[in-house]
Amino acid sequence: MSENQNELELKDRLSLIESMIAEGRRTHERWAWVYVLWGVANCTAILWTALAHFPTAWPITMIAAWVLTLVVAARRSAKRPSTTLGRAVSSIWIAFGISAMMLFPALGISGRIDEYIQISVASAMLGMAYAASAILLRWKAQFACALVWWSLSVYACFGKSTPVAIAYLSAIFLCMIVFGIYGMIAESRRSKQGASHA
Amino acid sequence: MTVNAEELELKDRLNLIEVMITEGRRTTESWGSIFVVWGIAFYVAFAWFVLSHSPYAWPITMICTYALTRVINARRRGGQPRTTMGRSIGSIWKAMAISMFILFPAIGISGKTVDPSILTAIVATMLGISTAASSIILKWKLQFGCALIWWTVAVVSCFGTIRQSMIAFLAANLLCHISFGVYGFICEARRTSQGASHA
Repeated sequence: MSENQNELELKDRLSLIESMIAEGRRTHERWAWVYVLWGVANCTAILWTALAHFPTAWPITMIAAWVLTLVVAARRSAKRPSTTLGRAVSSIWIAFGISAMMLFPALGISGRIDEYIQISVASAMLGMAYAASAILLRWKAQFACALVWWSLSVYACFGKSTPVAIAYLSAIFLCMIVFGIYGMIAESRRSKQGASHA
Repeated sequence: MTVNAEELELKDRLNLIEVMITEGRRTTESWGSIFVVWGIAFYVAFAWFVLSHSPYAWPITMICTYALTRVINARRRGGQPRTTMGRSIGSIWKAMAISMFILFPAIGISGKTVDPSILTAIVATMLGISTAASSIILKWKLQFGCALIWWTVAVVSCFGTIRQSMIAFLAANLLCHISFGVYGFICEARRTSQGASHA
């Protein structure tokens, strides 16, 4: 194969990758409501526990959020074919979901962990999932969220109880609710543009 | 677009995905050496810590292994174009490495007493996330089996004694890192020899 042909093939490959990344990010934006849903679920569980000292607040909220996610996801995914990058990103979150649903109840029941170390571990795991997805989609806003989670992971190891709790709630607000709303706005703007071009 | 054309496009898309999955699985098999290197590194760090009780056993071994991984990566990657599946899997393992390199030193330096079996549970869970995500992307049942083993170690570590947790972790390391890596080696070598005989 000549050098020119090689260069052309490489360019084709690069443009295919670029278009796949853009498509993956668009798919991800369509799922932005999941971030908002889980952000609200986390805040609800934290407030419920703090105000009512109800021991089953976390399991009830998490299970309800899972069921709601599955129901809405099943309705949404039936309408559109999945992309390769979309599959890759969803695999990260599925793996994270299974792991979190297994580790945190086990840690809670065993009672062998400090609650701030638990926040640190949860933040590190969230940082991992956000970063993997951000590297994959080359999405700076999402990588910034990963940095927020990692910073919280370190801070939770050293900070005092009230500031750590405030930092945790702020991270949930920023990286789940605000980030999710940002994704939803980006998606609606794109679908409006699509409708006006049609 | 007609129904037939749409069906053809969908078939093309499916074919492309299948090709990418096979290509990605092949790439993972060719990275078998990394699994083996990390498997051995865990044993070295563990043995060093048990024998000398040195607080530097884990950090030094992990940093050296990370450097070794970078060298192997740089040599292997030379000239080979990256695939989308390869990038996806690479991003998962990269993110896991950064998280571990942030979390564990922070816990260690903070001086908070954390049960060693809980630390094992956390490591096993993080390894479970990466292994499971990678297996779902590659639709690889064997690798998903490894993820199930890591999750089991995590649960055992939360409830068992330190001894039970260590035994479970070391056994999982042998199975999911060393044996899985060697299996990848064998698959790759078999493919290379088949390729040579077809040439």
